Amino acid sequence: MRTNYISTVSFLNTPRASMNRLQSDLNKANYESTNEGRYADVGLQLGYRTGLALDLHQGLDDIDEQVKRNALTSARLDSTYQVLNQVRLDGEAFLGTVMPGKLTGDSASTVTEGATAKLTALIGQLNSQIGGQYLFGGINSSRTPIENFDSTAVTPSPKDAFLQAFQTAFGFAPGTPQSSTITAAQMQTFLADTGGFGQLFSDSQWKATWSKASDTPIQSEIARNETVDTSVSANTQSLRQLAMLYTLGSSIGLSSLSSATQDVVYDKMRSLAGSATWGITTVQADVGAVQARIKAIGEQMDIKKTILSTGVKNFEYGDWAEAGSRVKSLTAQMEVAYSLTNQVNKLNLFDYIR
Amino acid sequence: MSLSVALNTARGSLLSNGIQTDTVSRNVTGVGDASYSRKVASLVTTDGPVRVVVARVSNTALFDKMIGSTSELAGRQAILDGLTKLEETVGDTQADGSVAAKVSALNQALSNAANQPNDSNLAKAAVAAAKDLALALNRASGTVQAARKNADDEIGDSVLTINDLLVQFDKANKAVMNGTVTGTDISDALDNRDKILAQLSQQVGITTVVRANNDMAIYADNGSPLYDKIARSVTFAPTSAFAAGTTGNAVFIDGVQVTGSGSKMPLQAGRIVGQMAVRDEIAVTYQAQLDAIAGGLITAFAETDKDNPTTGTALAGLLTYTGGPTLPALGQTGLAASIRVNPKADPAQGGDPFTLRDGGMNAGAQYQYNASGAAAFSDHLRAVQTALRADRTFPSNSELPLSTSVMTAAQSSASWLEASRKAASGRVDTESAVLSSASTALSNVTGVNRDDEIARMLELEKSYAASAKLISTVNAMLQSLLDAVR
Repeated sequence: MRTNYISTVSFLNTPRASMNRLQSDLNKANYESTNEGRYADVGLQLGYRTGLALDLHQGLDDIDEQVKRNALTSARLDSTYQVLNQVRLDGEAFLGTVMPGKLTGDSASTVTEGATAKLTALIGQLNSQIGGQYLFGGINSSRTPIENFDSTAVTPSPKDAFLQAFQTAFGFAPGTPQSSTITAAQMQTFLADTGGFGQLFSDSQWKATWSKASDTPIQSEIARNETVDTSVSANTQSLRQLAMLYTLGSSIGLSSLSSATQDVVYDKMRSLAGSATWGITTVQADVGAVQARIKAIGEQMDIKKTILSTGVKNFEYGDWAEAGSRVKSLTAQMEVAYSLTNQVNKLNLFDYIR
Repeated sequence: MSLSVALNTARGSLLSNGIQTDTVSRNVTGVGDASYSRKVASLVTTDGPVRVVVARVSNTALFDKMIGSTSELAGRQAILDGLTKLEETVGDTQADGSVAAKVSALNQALSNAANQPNDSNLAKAAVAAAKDLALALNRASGTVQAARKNADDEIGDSVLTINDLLVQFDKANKAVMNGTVTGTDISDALDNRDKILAQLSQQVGITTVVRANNDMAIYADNGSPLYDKIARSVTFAPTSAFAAGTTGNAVFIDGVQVTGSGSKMPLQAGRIVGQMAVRDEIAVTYQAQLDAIAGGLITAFAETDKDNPTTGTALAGLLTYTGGPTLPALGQTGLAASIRVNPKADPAQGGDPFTLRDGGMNAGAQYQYNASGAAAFSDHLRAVQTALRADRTFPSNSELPLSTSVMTAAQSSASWLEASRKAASGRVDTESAVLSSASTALSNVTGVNRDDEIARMLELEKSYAASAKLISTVNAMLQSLLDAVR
């Protein structure tokens, strides 16, 4: 008989039961529309893709950190480049003073003074540091790479080592009157790579007296899996040649030598200055190449960051405008549900039968 | 037919009217009660006066559907609740609270340290990041075991509830049987019994069988008898503390194991089943993942023998655990709970953070990588980073990729958890809809419609008036007869 029977409980509850769902949906929609469309429960929305979203976030953090690190590396490279430029310019200026046309009989003392000043400047430059790291120390960046010429920290000091070598070769100290007896040939032997002076700047003696720097350069990872050398060691041949040049000029006692022997010394100076400054140009070019690479990577990272941000946006964000309109439609639905609940509750047969 | 018979009939009609009105008022009282079933007072005409029989509207198929759905939903809800608890170890992807985010933070701290190896602050920051990661794993492991303990407690509560309900059911069932035998109105007793069944179905899936004299037997959904003439005992021994590798106890019905792998026919639905899944499957797998990640991290940070990279013994480095410095075996349990930063590297415990750069957290020259003591030595820091990114083997019971990097494994673990939660949430939504429609259908069949009852009352009012009128008419007729005789 009764095909359409409905119990009062479900009659009254149906509009009310939908309200719970509407309210929780509205809560979500509200969150999304006030958070630029970001899902209220990202993990629930993404499910098995949560790992990917985490990966994207980590990629973004990685890039930010890498950019900061590269800024530090760039600062170190820029300083290195400037120092190299300065010592190269100094070397070229010194080369100018020992050119054959410039040399007169009185040049000896001028050259000696010039070399002494340049030697101090060179040592000062090579001991530059940035952020607690010595630029030219290689990986041994916490120790002053080059000893002062008359340092007391090492025995023998670079100066003493030179004096001893001179004494051994000629039997007297440089600058003494006996120096004038040194022949051009004797001087050539002394200055040759295998001679007493040349040997002072060989790898082993250089590291024992002059340098605490490590040959191993500092390496920096400027991008994932791209590691480059980002420091220049004070042991580099060209820099060593500069030290050799200024030591020779300042300490050999130029004015006490015979003019033929002086010519041999000047000759050696020109050859050292020439090859040192040329060599430094090459080192500068290497540093410049890394700087350019870091700059290029910076631009790549900007692009990559945009891509990753877009990925995050696609994953974790829904349609903002849609969330906004969802709030509106849910609000309207809620109003209908409220009004229905109210109306349905008012329906009572009693009100109509009396 | 004599007037006196007519009077008798009218009197009987008044009586039946009273019973019917009583039924209407009982129904009106039950309007708001979802578990109340409508009472129907039907007139039975026999020889002579009418009789009233009170029956109760019921629909066994819909009721069974409703309690089945209740069990299913309770189980799924328990699983979802468990997963939601575990989810706090992952959190929002933006919040960087997950283990995966902490691994990444450590990797970045290592990169920063490798870029300026001479800077002790960066070395300290890397150690701090490692500490943070170890703590995150410890906490996650704690959360997992707390979730297991909670599930175990819930199972214990469920079992107590079941036993309690069975005792109540025993009384309700006896009331129904007595009423049936003595022929009294048993509709309220039946309601009461159904109410207990609905409560019981939340704890465990049940089926019922009705036998002679309305005697009901309850079986769990695997066939174990819960109530058959008498209440059977459901037993469970709670576990006081959980750690990785702890196995919880099974539930027994009448001495027969009904949960876990030792059961031939395990229970299918209900809160107990959901909590069992959380305690013995989901949380255990997640713990295995955390342990595998912790093991992978300890191995990645290990100090290898630099003189014999292939044959030498590698020992735990920056991250170690209770059993250190020996490296843990694949699939070793409890690592996530005991992973910690090596005190040799932790400045807060008197360690030297530069051991991260130079090696030497273990004794022996073979673990000293920076022989010259160079301040900007970065090879070892980079080697550790490479190890973090290198593929390694993960145990199959962790459901992580079998061969992948620690970082990817941490991300996979988050993915696994969120995917499980998403699936569980979907299942709860589906089953909620099923339960809601089953309840509505049942309510529409057995529930009370207030307007219908009022209409019926009007009807009864009229029939009462008619009977009363009849009595007064007969009375008048008899009066006029007596007047004539006088």
